[in-house]
Amino acid sequence: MDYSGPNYIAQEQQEEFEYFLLGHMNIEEEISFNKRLEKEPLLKSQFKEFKTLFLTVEEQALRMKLDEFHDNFEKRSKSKKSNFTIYRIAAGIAVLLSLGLWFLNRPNQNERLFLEYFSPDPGLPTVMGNNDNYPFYEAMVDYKEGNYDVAIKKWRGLLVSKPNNDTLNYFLGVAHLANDDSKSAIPYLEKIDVSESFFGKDAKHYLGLAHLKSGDIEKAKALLEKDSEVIKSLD
Amino acid sequence: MQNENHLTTAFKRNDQKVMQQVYQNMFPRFRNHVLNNSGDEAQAKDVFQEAFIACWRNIKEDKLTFNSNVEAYLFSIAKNKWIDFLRSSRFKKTVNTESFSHLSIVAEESDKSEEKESQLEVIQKALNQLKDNCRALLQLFYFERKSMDEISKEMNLTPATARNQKYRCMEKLRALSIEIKKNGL
Repeated sequence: MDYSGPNYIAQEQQEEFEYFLLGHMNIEEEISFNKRLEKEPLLKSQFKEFKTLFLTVEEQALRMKLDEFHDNFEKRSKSKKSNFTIYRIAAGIAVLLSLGLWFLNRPNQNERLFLEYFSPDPGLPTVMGNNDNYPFYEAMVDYKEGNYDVAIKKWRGLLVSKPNNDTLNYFLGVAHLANDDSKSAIPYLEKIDVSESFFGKDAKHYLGLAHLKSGDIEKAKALLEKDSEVIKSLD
Repeated sequence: MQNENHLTTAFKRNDQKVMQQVYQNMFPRFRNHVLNNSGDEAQAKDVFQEAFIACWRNIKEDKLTFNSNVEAYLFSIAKNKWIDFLRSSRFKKTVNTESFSHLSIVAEESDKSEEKESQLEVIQKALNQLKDNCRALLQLFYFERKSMDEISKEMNLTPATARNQKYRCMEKLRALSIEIKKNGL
């Protein structure tokens, strides 16, 4: 170690320079230090030299850190990309699925025919003040208003005590059909005796249409009127 | 300094988390700029890192006004460095190695900055010649700015030893720099 000449800086002096450069001095200390630098040229040149060394140590460390930052950045964007890829694949699958579902769900020919020829039974006239069958006619009002779910629920409640009632079975069948539920309609309509019941003919007709909607062409043909427009379209 | 914004203060303290965040925020933008302006990924990285260091140094020397947006400042330094690079002989050489006529048109760097550059290079060389644990110790104190306790534990030294070693390492660095400058190593 060279203890002579202007290059020598004592440990305490070096530590004072560090203290200043690390920002540990308060305002008064800084002012006092700067004043001394102005007064003592040797101190000033020693400080300038030390400062350059200090800053270079810092800068070299930063350079190494920047490479680290860059590596971390690349790792992050790679994982973001692969996440993004996963999202893109998932989105692609979702699109394919919905296309498939649309394809499967789009009205087939039978459904289209059904829609063309089906019109809901207009229902029975609702006469207010008829106390005996008030719950039935209350549901009939719901049915006529298009609230098929409500009507169905109410009529099913009544069916419990009158399971073979034609009117209830018929309108339950027709209400389900109007509610786009041909499968549920079929058992109710099948209960109607075609020849005996007041609703017989209509029940047969709606049963035919219900089978058509469900895709059961043979059953539909058997039930629907031979020279009706529907049959002609099916053939 | 109460009015300094958060980023400026963080840069002055060498706050790595903050600097990393700024790096990750700004690099993609600059990379796109370079890719759209005759450059490639590697060049974008190099120029960006030089700009980052320049920005960091200017902040330390209080060249940034306290209200300034550090990220915008970094980006503008980087863009200017990219322009300089495009105009430089180094870039032109890679573009067209056959014709040398346009090399003379390139502006000369000022003498002052060259002098500063070489002084920096000298100390960098000296740093590389220091023993690994010396360099690590100095970086822990001056860049990472860890406490004496933390550093002692990390380097497996007593605080007094760490303190003394720091002094000796800095003296060694200084002596090496003088030697390199004198002998042009």
